[in-house]
Amino acid sequence: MIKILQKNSWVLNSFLLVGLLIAAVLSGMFGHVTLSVSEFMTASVGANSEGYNLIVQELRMPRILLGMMAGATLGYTGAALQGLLRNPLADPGVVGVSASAGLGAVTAIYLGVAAQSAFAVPLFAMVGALIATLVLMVLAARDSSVLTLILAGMGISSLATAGVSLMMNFAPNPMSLQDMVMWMLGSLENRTYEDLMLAGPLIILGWLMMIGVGQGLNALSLGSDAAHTLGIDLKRLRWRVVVGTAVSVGATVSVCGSIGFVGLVVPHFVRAFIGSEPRRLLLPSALMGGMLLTLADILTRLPIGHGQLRLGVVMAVVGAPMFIYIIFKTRGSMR
Amino acid sequence: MSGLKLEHVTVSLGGTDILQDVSFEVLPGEMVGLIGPNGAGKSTTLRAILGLIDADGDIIMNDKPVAEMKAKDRARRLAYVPQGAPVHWPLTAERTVALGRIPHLNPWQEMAEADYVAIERAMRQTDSWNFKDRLVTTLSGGERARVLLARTIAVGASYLLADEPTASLDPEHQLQVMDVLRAEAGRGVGIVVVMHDLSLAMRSCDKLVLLYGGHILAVGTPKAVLTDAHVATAFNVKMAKWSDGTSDYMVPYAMLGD
Repeated sequence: MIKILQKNSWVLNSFLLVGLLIAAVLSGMFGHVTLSVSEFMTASVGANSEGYNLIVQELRMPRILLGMMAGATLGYTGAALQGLLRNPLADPGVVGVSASAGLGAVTAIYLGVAAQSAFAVPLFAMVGALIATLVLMVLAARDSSVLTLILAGMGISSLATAGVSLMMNFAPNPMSLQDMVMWMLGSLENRTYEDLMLAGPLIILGWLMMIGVGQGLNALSLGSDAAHTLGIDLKRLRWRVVVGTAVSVGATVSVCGSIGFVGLVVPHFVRAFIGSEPRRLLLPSALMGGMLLTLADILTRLPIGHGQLRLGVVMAVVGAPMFIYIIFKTRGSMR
Repeated sequence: MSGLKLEHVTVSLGGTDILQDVSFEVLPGEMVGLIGPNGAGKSTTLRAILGLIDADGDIIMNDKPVAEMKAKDRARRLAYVPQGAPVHWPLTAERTVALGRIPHLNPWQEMAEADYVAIERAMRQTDSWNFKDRLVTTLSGGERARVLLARTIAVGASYLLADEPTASLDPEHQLQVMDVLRAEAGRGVGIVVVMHDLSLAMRSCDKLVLLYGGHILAVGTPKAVLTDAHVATAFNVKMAKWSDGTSDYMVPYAMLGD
């Protein structure tokens, strides 16, 4: 079976696409009101009772779409960054954009503007991500080495994390502190079409920037000198992946909060099925990321403990053991 | 006139000339060995030809400056085996060789029949077809070197530049790699190979370029280049030399001292 998948990545992609659609339907079925498949389907096209139509179209659809887009972005950028940096431990957090978006969001809560408008947090987060992208470009523009890029990303990430700690330290009241913590834990709850309209275009812009990078990432498997002699414009490839990641992940984090592990775990999981060729990992990583996040979002609706599970927490709790398992299974092959 | 020509090539790094006024030519089907002590500028010469470092002077391929060629055009004509070439992911041998076809494909294009033919031919030529499904991370040094050589041959370039392709290989595999390069030369490919084994260079190359201190000390047939005087100047060693009638051999046996 693995051999068939390795030779024909479309087989895996077809499975994952079906899985993504099933996850989307399941996500539409479960919540405070549980619907059957047919109820969900009819309500999604407005052919059910007014109440069900409202639940599905206004509450669940934007959440499903955002979840799929966010997961796909994190999975795809994780695979692309691992290929670019030739490092299986890279994930979107590496470029410092997630942490900076977090700083923007926390600033909005700290300043109290979050209470004035529902768009304040995502807009501030987006500004944070944008500033991080610009700083990254300035820091790493002259030097084209991957190491400079990683170090610049780490520096930005550390600075943003320090800023978040500072805001939390001086939080004006316990409610603000709780809002900050909750935002950092990530969620798709109560997301609307407005959120989708805010983040969606930027997420898609980031995707478009990264279309067709697979061949260059494949060439980089042989090192940057060999990739250059295979006709790859390395500078262009690097900026397409980094800026594409910054834009799409920045937009994702701005509406969903911090969600870790998807970008790290998903490419490893896909490798177990179709091997390590960077180009062939991209599409399945996007599909699996979307599926995983949509399924994780269903878990956040389960009545567990006193409060509600947050999406970032579910991903960490599910993702970390998965990561350890994959490392255990593939140890020795990464040398 | 066809050929790969270097004319007065100079490379400076940090204000120091590490390659000075280097000129030589590689004809189609010719196998040229770049020899010289460590730091003489052999790898720098290859890197300058490939555009990996900036160089003054002219590097011309088939009457066209290499620097003016489009990246993919250049990549289809000049193939390169870097020194100690890494493979960062555990790819199968066949998928590694397939990377050599990248210059022939646009970013979305899948490989066609011609690409698969080129891959199989390159792998059979380097005797690596029988382990095509194994991961490169599980191959021995000799097997890996053959796969990486096949990757370069699969490009189907007019010129092939190899930086110490025999380093860390046992004698049998050294001969095998040189024979594969010779066979490529036989098919009309111009070969430039950096090497340290002077006997192997004498046995395999049509022409040698002896670099010393960033400039050319001698260019010509192996016999004309590897004279006692040149070897003493460049390598600072005494060599034992003999011939068995078909091949010449050189073995260093003592340092000359200061």
